[in-house]
This record gives sequence, structure tokens and C-alpha cells, in this order.
Amino acid sequence: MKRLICIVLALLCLTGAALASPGDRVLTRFDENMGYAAIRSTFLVGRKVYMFTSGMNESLMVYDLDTKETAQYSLQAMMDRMNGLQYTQSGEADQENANITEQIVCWFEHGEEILALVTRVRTEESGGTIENATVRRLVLDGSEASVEATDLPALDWSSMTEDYGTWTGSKYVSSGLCVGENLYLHTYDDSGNAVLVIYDLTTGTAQERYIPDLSNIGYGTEDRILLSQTRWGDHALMTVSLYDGVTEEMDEIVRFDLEQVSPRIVTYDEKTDILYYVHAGEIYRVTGRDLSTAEAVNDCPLSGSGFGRVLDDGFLVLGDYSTVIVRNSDPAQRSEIALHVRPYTWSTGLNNAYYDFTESHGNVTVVMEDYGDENALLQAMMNRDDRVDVYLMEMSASAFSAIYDRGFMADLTGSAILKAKTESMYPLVQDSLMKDGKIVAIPVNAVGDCLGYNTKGWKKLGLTEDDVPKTWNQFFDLLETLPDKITGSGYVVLDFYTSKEDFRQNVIRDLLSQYTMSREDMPYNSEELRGLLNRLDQLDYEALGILPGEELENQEMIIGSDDGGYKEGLITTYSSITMQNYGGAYQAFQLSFRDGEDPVLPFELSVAWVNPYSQHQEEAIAFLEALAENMGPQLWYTVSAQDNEPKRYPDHEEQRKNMEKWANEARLHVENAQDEEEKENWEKILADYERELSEFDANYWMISPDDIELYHGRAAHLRPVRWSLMRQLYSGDESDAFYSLFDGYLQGQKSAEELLSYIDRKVQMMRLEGN
Amino acid sequence: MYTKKRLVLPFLLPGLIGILLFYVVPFFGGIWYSMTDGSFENAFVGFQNYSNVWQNPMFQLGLKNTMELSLICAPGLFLLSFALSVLLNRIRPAGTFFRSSVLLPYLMPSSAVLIIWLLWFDFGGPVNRLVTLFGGGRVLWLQGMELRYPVILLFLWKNLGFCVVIFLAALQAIPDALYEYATLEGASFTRQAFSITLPLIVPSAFLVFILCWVNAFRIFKEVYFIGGAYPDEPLYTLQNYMNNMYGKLNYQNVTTAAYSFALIVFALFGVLFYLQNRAQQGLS
Repeated sequence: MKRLICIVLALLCLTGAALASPGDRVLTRFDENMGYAAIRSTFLVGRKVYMFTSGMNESLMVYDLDTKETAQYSLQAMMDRMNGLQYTQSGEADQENANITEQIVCWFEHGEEILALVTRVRTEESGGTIENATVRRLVLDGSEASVEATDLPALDWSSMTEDYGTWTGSKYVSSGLCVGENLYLHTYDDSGNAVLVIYDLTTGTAQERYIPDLSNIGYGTEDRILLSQTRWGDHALMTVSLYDGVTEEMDEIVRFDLEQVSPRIVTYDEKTDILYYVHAGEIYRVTGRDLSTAEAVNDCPLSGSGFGRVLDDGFLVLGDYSTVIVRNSDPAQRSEIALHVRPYTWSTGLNNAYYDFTESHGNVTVVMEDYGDENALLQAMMNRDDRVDVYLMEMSASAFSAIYDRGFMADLTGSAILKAKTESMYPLVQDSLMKDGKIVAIPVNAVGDCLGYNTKGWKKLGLTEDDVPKTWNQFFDLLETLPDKITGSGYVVLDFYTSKEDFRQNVIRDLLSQYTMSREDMPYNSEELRGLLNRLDQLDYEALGILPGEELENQEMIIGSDDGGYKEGLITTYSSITMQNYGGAYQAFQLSFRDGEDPVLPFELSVAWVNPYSQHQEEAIAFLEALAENMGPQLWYTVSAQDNEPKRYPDHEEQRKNMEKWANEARLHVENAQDEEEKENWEKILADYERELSEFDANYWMISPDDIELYHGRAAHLRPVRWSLMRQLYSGDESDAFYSLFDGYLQGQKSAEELLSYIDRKVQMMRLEGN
Repeated sequence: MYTKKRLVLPFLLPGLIGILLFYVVPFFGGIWYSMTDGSFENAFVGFQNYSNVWQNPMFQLGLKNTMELSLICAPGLFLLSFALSVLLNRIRPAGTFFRSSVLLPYLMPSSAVLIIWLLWFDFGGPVNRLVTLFGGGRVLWLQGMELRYPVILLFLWKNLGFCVVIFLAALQAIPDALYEYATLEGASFTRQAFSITLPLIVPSAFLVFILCWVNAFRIFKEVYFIGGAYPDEPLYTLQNYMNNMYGKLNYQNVTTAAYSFALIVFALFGVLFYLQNRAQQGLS
């Protein structure tokens, strides 16, 4: 718990930081890359913002908008009391051997208090039922938060249940909010249609309202909700209206053309009749219900849909699953410098960079734009377009080559931070980031997969490091002998979800991409490549247990089957070659085409650069510095050998503590057991907990010592992809023809010769055309 | 007289400005653009791009194929449409139905027509069945050099109607009285054809000939629909090259290739204009 509190407090240091407009603040933020905690729901009551967070431990943060202080409350004790395990262990199990648990369906505001909708679930061997649904009140006491009973009647839950055989469960509630004495629940019926269930809290009775294309509900006015309806299709539209569920009156405010705008976090201020929405990194306001008045008032980095409320002083409280912020809505107070960042690709540290940068550059607004058409970028450069200051893109994109080759990138060499970072990177990465001796880009993401093997399984089969194939021919040799070796080992060749077509497709993907990078200008229809594809065709897939897709779909789930349950695959088609750790079970094969030849492992490197026409070069370079500082350990370790310390996941300590707690509880049960049978049972549970803890310590690494050692062994063979054959073949005008041919080859209707000669002809023409 | 000329100018000015802005400036702007390197510095490189493009083997291949296809398609279309229009002119008024029918392919979208064409020339399609009926072996019409036949036939079939309509209009504009007078004077069919028909339709025939060439140069849609951006070598046209260069965002090469081709077309049309003038004078 201390750990969580420390993290949260550290995050709260951001609170009150000077941001782009006066009054802009970050109330809380979780680093979504770590994925260990998220904001479940946010509420505004008076001048306090309530943020319920989930993770290893449930908690509540209450931010006071006046004092700018945050109070932290733990919900974990209450949750533990409500869940079945605690009831059973504390002897509160039902006499008929049933478990009683309570579940919070949703939280909602009601006047000046926060209420919880709680269902009581009874679970027996024969099935489960929902006993009742009641409304309880949030109570804050010291550092603990809990719920207590209210005078409100129990709710008629019959329209909110779903049957799953002998089990009855509650319908999924997308969101819930209260207007007056009416509680609106956004849920779905058995056919998946969105439906509003409206509860009268004074009587507990429910009414269902089917609203066509209902997509979201939010706070509207004192007696109406704000309701969004999204109609997808050729001409996608989103209508935002005020809705009274009792009278069923709908009052349309605006209608968005989704081809032009993609509004997120829509919120409405009744007093001023202003609608706010977030689009492309900015908050827009619409006055007089007229979309033509839409005007950007401030930046907003939130990427998900979520919470939005207008405060009495005109400020906005906006939140999504990871962040809650306050934004000034007066465009006149916006900073003069607006830095526009356009990501054409995902980046590990972009969000963190945004907050770091805006914290240290209070005079700059940063607008994180939506993804755009990358092919329009060169035209923008040719027109000396200075609207966007920073771009992010994969290096294998054609647009990147066009930009790089023509030098439409600002010189970053003057930045001491970027220079130092770049100089510590692997030479091949450094080369990719430089042009004519100048640093022009910085890495923002690196991903790469290839065939790999399960290291534990490898050992279990009695195979050693010497048996790991070094060439593609050795790999096929291995596959030919594997059926005999793998029998009785508890492993299968591939995971049950990988079909023969998937496997072949991925092998060809690796073969072609590695061939492209190691055999520049060589024809694809070569004896070498043809020979390897023929070997792939001639494999005995039945003996290897690799099933065609059609057969795989008809197979029963292997988990729990008669032959011993789930079996891990010895070989995977997706083993990371960068420092991305997918659990650490698999190690990449480093296959070359000939004995004694170095392997080539292609990976996708994404980079960021500054528009040379940017009017804010200095700020843009500073933003890139923030990006470089926020690369994230996995990216940093992939591109640089400077740091070699293993890294734990940030929630390691917290998770470990929980596991220790369970183990200690089990230990206590062992000590206090009434009889031998009970003692034996708890000893087994304790042994399981201790084993899990030991496995957790061994495996729960963001970057483990083994990862570092293995990565250093292959780092010299990594090559950033600058021209991707598969990307060329799978995109653009050729995609249909290639897809059809490739599919024909995978189905055995076309030969390797036909496939390779097609690729060869296309690629030779592409090469002869030049860039 | 001088005053009248001055009065004309304000009326001409909007049109002249339009021509200047939308035709002359972009034309010369494009020439300048083709002489820059398109980089951040946008350096003037003179004829370097032209030199690079002309030496590019795919540009050469595209140009060669485009010229070859044009040399087959343009005269073929011209002669066929002339013959057909003379025929239709002779069978009027019953020819109305045929005149309308022959124009139909021109009005149909290429993509729709192409599906039928692909079915016809499929390995097991009607064309190959016809070939086997006459004792020949089946041909892979949709691959390699053989693909040229369906493409040429498709081009002729599609554009024939338009040329026939122009020819027919020219033929029908010749007053019947001239032929009646010539017949009374004892002029033979051949004499009428060379002394009346041909001199009077030369301007229209020249227009049709030019249109045939222009259309033949633009033979791309058909190739693209069948072979994509990178068709088999015998079908790779200059438009493929320019289209692919555009896809690769190499706008300099697109412009350079376009102006290079325009230069060739202008030269060709210059020769044709000269020949037309000479022919017109001779016939007069």
C-alpha cells in the first residue's frame, strides 16, 4: 500500500504545475505504459473531484479544487469484506454451503454525496443468483473508504439480469449517472442493443428506454442527461442531445459529421448553452448550438473517452482511464506558442513527454494531433507547411524515406541532450538517426518479432544451446526431427491457436524480410530461397501437429481436454527480438541463410523529428528532448547498451506484498487448523502461494538479467527496416493481387516458384524505377 | 479602329487572366519544378532530373511500350472508325440504331467493361474455346505479351464509337447536292470520294486522328485494372511509371516524365499538323 501511495503522491507532484493556460492542472495521472492501475470512474461533487482507481488495490482519491490538495483513501478493506473469499475465511459462509458476495456495479453522484449500486450475489454449487440490488453511501473515515446503508429502497433488478445456464448475473453497465432522483444505467440487452435503464431511486422501480444508436451518456442539466447517438455507415454521424428519460423528450444540441470531426469527452454547460468537446488534441467550444462557431480553447492530451464537467468558474474537469485534468476554457488566456505534435505511429513515451514538457514549459501549449495521412506529409513539406512542429513515424514508411532523403528534417545536433543520447546508441541505430553527419531524428519505438523457441521446453527435450539452429536449413532439419523428440515431453510444436497457414505465413514473413536485408539487390526467385520454401512446403505438418485453419476452428479447446490439458508450444512465431519482454519464455532464433554467415534480424524503428519549417524550433527540440528522456526502459535498452541494470515492473513491490499477505494468511490457517485434514489443505495452499511467489520473483521483470544477456547476444544482428517488402506487397495497388497469390500459395494451390517469381518481378521493377 | 481594339481588351482580360493563371503559369511552374531537386534546399539542378529519368530503364520501357501500343492502336482505331462510319453513312436511316449501339462501350465505365473482358479472355473463357475450336491451343491471354491483345481490343472496342460519331457528322455535313451534281456530270464513286468526300472531311479526319493518338497515349486504365501498378513488362506504360513515382512521393520524377512525354507528343503533333496542311493544300 505504501508503494501505491508513494507512486500516487509522486504523480500528484504534477498537481498545480504551471501549464499552458492559467489554472491548467493535472489532478492525477497513471503511466498507461505500465498498465498496473487505471481510473475507473470520476465524479464532481461540489468543489471536489472523486477519482476511483483500480489496480492491485482499489483506492479513492479526492481532489479539492479550492485547496488543490488530494486526500487518499483505500477501498481495499471494504472490497475484501465484500468478496466471497473473505466471507468464507472469516466464517461468514452461508449455512447451506453457499458463498455470499457483494459487487459494486457502479458509483454515481447523488446531490452532495457519492452512492454505490451494490448487488448481493449468492453462489451455490448448483449455480448463482442475485439476491438484491441496493444503494449505499460512500463514507470516508481516516484513510479508509467504505459504504454504508441508505434509506433508499432496494432496486428492482429483474430487468438488469442475464442468465448463463444455471447462473444469473448482472448485465454489463457501461456507465451510470443520476439526475434528480433518477438513476440512468447505460447497458445492453441480450441482442447487444444499447438500452437505458432508468431507476426511480425513491421507489426502486425501473423503466427501459431503447435509444437508437446510443453510444454514450453524460451529465447534461439538472433534470436531463447528455446523450450521444452514433450512426456508423457511409455518412457517419454523432448526434448530441439533452434527454429526459421520464418524459422521453429529446432536445438535439448538435450533429457532428464524423468524417470531419471525431469528438471525445463531450460536455455541456447549461448556464451558457456552450457545448465542449475534445478533438485532435484540443478542446473546442460550440456556442448557440451552432457547429460553425466551434473554436479551439485549449489543448487536451486525453486520448480516451471519459469524464467531462464544466465548473462554475468556466474551467473544465476532463478525465479518461489514466488521467484527470483541469483546463482553462478561455481562449484569450491560452499561451501564444502552440506546439503541434503529429504521431503517425504509436510511441512509448509520448504521453509522458507531453506532461514533462508542459510542466517545464508553462508558456507553451502542446497539441497532440490525431494520426493523419502520412502520404500528405511530403506535399506539406514542399509547401513549407509550418503548422505541425514535431512528427513521429515508422522508418519503413515510404513517406519517411521521402522526407529523410530530401532532408526535410531540422538539425538536432545542437541539443546536448539529444547528442549525448544518440552517441550512446548502437552504431546502426545512430546511422539511421543521422543525415550528412547531423542528428535529425530520435527513436520513439522499436518492435520486431521472429520465430523463437521456448527455453524451458528446449531444456526439457534435452536440447542444448548447441542444438539451437543457426541457419534456416538447420531450422527445417529441426522441424523434421521434432515429432519424434517432442512426444511425451508435455509440449507441442506450436501453441494451439497457431494454424498451419499462420505458421507458414510467419515463416515466409521472416524469410523474406531477412532475405531483403541480407541479400540486397539479389533476386528473390533464387535457388537459395526457392529451396527453403520447398522445404517449408515439404514439412510433415500432420506429424508436427500443426493443423490447417479450418480443422483448428473445429477443434475443441485443448485446455481441459482428455490428453492432459493445455500444452505450451515449443516454437512461437512471435518472439521479440527487441527488448520487449512478453513473459520471457521465448528466445528468438537467429537464423542466417548460410553456415558461418551472420544472421540479420530486422526490426521496425519509429522516430520523431522536427519540421524544418517550424516557427518554434527551440520548443520543438525541447519537446524531442522530453521524448528522449521518456523513452521507456525497453526502448532505451533496445537502442543503447549504456544501461545494463535489470528493471522490475513498478508494481512489483505492491504485487509481492499482496502475495505475501495471502501466504501469511494461509500460514496462520496452518497454525490454527482444527484438524489434520484442514491443516493438510492449508499446507497445500501455502505451498502453492510460496511457489507462486518464488516464480513471481523470478519472472516478474520488465527487463530481467537474462533479457539483457540474451539481447546483448543478438543486438549486433539487429537492423532497422528502411524498406519493407511485405509492407510494399501488402499495401497500395498491389495488395489484392499479392494477397490472392499468397493465399493461393498458403493453400497449396500455387508453387513457391510462382510466388517468388511474382515478388521478383514486382521488386525488380520497383528497384529499377528507383525512389 | 484603334478605339475599338482598346474596348475589346477589358472583355478579353478575365479570360486571359484565367488562361494565364490556370494554364500558362502552372505550365512554366512545372518546368521550373522539374529542374529542382525537391529537397529542403530545393536546389536548381538544371536538366539533371531529365537526364536521370531518361536514363531510367523503367521510364524507357514505359515510353517504348506506350509508343508501341499507340502505333498499333491509333492508326487501327482511325481506319476502323472511318470504314465503319462510311458504312453506317450509306445505310441511313436504318443506321441510327447501329450508330447508337457503337457508342455504348464508350459510355460504359471501364471497370464494368473489364470484368466482362477478363471473363472472355480467361484461360477457360469463350475466346480460348473459339481458339481450340479452330484447332489452336489455349493461350494465357492475361499474362505476358499476350495481354497486349485483349488490351488493344478493349481499347479499340471502347473508343470506336466516339470516332465514328465525329466521322459521321463530317460525312453527313457534306451536301447531297454535290454528289447529285457530280453524278449528273458522270463522276465515278472513286472520283466523288477523292474530289468531294475526302477534301471536305480532312479537318474532321485530322481531329479524329489526333484524338486517336491522344487516347492511345493515355492507354493506362485498361492496363492498370488488369496488371496493377506493376504489370508484366510488355504492358508497363509511361503512365505506370508516373503513377508509381507519384506513389513513391517522387514528384520531381513525375513532373520530369510528364514534360518529357509532352515534348514527344508536341513534336509528333507538330509533324501531323504540317502533314495535314500539306494534304489540305494538295486536295484543294
